[in-house]
Amino acid sequence: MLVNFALSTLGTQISCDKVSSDGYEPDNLLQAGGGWRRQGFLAERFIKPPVTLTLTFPCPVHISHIVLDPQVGSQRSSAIEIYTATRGITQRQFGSTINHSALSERTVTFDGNRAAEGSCHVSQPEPIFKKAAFIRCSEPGRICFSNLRFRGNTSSRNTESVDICPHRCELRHHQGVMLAAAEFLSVRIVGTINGKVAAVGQLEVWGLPARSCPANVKGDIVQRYMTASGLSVQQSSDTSSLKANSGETEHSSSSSHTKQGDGAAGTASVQDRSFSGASEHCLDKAESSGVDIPEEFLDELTWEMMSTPMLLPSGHSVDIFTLDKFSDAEATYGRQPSDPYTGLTFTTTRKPVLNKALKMRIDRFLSEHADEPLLRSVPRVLGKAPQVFSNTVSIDQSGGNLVSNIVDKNGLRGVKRKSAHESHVNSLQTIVGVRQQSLGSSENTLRVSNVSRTNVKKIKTEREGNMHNSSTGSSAQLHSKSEPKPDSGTMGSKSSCPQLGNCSSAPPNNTCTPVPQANSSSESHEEQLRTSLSSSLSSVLRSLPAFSFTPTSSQQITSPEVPMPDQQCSVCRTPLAQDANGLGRSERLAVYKFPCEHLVCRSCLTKSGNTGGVLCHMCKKQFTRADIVRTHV
Amino acid sequence: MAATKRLARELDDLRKSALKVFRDINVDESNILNWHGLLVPENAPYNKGAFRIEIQFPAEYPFKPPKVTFKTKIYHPNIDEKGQVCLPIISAENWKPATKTDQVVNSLISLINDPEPEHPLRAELAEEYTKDKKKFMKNAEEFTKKHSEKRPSD
Repeated sequence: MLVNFALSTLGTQISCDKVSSDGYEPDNLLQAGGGWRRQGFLAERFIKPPVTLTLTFPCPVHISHIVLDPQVGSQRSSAIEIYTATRGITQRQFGSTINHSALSERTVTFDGNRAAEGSCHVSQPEPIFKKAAFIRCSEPGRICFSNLRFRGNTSSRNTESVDICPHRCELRHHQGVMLAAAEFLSVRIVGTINGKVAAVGQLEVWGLPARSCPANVKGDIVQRYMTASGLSVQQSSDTSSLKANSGETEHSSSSSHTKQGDGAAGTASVQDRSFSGASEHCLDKAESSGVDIPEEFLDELTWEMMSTPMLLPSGHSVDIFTLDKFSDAEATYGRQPSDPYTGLTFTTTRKPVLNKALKMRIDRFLSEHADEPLLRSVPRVLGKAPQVFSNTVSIDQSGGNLVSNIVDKNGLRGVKRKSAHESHVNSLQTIVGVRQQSLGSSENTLRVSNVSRTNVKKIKTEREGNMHNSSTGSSAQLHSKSEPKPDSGTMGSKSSCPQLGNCSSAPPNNTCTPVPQANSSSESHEEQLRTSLSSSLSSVLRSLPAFSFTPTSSQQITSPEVPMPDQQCSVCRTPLAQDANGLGRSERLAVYKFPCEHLVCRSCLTKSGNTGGVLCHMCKKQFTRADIVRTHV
Repeated sequence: MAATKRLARELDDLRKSALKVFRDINVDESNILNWHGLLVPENAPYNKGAFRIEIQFPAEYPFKPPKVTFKTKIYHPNIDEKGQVCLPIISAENWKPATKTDQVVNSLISLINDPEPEHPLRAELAEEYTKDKKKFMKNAEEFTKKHSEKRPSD
């Protein structure tokens, strides 16, 4: 639903760079209802334009439209500029840090007149304000600044109420983010009629929390807005009756504002209700259609989701595929690759570069929303976000399982996922951190991002913690060993090199690392640990498609596997073993394995058709196609 | 198809901006590459009527420019009898993928409103336009009244 951000209850703050008239403070514009809001803002009579009112939003706002009444009594502003500013796409913390008392600390009060400190911009990193609209109107009447690029839940109702405004102006800025994620909004009064006082009778800023906001912030804003405007869901459901009078009330709002009581059912709330009622339907629609893709992730030329954003010399970001296609199209005219915006040919200094920051945000977004049908088709280098990784996994009993969990999650998808990886490491860090505190060793080791290594180390550390304090020496040795290991996590993420190599090679190394133990009583534990590790590893490796080699022979000893059936296809009984028919490796049949360990040759597997599951002929169980893995015998 | 998303977006934008001079945008549901619209010029002598135009987008859009043709006959030095227009912004050598359809439409309207006799498609009309503007205006107005579509009321 659209939210009117010009409400102090949402955490929006307002400040003015000039002195205001007594009783006509800028804060009036943000009051929820009743007389104060109707009062409006007036500059002190000796103040000449320009007068700047600056709103600071609690979160970045995707502005839909701004409705402004430039008249208070007989005072009227005639020329108004709208500026917006944003500090970037960073997610600002919402809630606790911003409250109304914070504003009053920053403002200076003289005899009831409030004025902001020297600058109207209250934030520490000075935002750069960009002009989005300018209107000069000699006739009275409300002004509507609308953002035509707004892509939220627009509705017919929305435009209806806008239609009432006699003056229109378009909000426009070439940088979409200035309107799609505005954190500050300045209303600058640059002219008045006949030297009258700068006035703003009413200000409404309609919009949505920007798409870059976290979901909880969005929810919080909507929640606050609902309570502020006295809304409940059932009220908004009956929109048809409100539809009729919303127009009238809006018309009369400028003239009848003194008559309005202090009840919450003032003009504003009726209006709010009609707005939210209409847009709530749209919200349902939006939810059912999936996620909102932030505008900045879309290629401006094709409006497709970008996979590899390239920053052009002209400052725009386009996908590398788009750029390639454009270069191809240009080549058909016999032209050099050039900037699709400016037409300037690329040179060694003027050329597209990878927009790494955007790429990271896109990757993160994709991994978080991997299951959205909308995003399925988007090419990506990353898989899914991890399921909530439980910190409460008991290491004492299932250290090995932990390894298998992680390896499983990373390995099964066959690609490296940085974000997932990091979060694993993070969750592990907490555990490891606790353990290591007891040992008093440094935190440097936490940086090690090889999951399995960290894990093994952790288990060892734990064991050492359990056994004696005397083994700190060996733990230190372990840490020193793991530190020089190159950060395979980050390296892998770029080249998408399968982590399988890591998984299959590193853990056995770790298990084989002899830890010098003076105490003989640790032997049993060591043995136990080794068994549990190798069994879990073998179970993991069994489920993975083996690209290099599978140390099955060595693992069969330790793993409680189902005894291998005859090396033949369970359907056509063709012998599948390598030396059975003397053929070379490449000429051999491709062999697949059911989860029940029965083998099947490729021709039998494909015979069963493409749809549905596959039946194992030996145990008559149905399996999905995804469960069947390629294997080598 | 790469063009679909972009065109859907541009169509949405154009419809939302509700230009007075370009309206009734019709797009075939099955083929978004083909748009029809009604051009309503504001300058004499074309302000007596409205003109149907067709915008055809290539499948390679936005890497290749769209083509604009007039479906209604028009007495204009820059538009030939077949309805072909010579619009610099959508010529192959000037085309930029970043050019939006509303820019194309706007440049088309400014061409209609202010003919460019220096780059004519119909030389005789260009000559008439430069040499005897009164006659041109009279002819064009008559032609417009005779052949063009009815202007929308609002």
